[in-house]
Amino acid sequence: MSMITNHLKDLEINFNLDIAKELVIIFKSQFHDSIKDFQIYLECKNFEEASRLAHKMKSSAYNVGAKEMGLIYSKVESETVTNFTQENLRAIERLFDEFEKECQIWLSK
Amino acid sequence: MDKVLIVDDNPNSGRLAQYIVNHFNMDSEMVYDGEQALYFLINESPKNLILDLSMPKLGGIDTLLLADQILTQIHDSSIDQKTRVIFYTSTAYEYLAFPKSKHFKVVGYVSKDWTVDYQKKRFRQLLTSRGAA
Repeated sequence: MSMITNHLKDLEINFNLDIAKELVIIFKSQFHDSIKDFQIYLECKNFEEASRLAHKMKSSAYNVGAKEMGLIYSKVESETVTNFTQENLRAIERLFDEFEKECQIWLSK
Repeated sequence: MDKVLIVDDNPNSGRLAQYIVNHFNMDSEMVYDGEQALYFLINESPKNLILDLSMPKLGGIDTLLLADQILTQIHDSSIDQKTRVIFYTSTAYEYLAFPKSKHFKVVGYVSKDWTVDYQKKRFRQLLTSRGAA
């Protein structure tokens, strides 16, 4: 079982399936909004706002077990000038696609 | 059971904290920024406060300091019971020095980076124990 599936299962055991699903839905919605904002901050070189948003997204990612995404957000948060790049955003998007696949597996069980 | 005020601009973390608190059969109220929190702190004097530190406009520490100032002006008599504060944050604890306050007592912190299971244990410990962490 993957780290994400394990974590979601853990949420389900600690609370219930509906609560786990709700946290995933909130995270997905936050993710889509954040990608648009990150793009704007990148274009404007607004590293301060990018750092603030990364801080917020880091917690949300950890809450649903997306540890690897959390680590990239953490990098963006702490060293924005060197670490906030298009490449980071693409990596986050790739990991989000994986997260969605994991969610499908988790929900189908 | 004592009421818990949860203050977090991130709905994901706020909801998680609320589910944890509700799991202990405690009553909770959730607000999303420091300004909303001020209203509750001044008018409803919750017994327990779960507070995010990094929030836009008014951060957690500033919220507490401002609420303490206002409450001190309103109530010049002695305080019956301080609101117990748990910082809920992903910022390292060593940076979280909070000065002594008349109305608030910081009892500990819960890291958002911890596992759900551990967050639950720690919240239970801090919300149910009467002493400081």
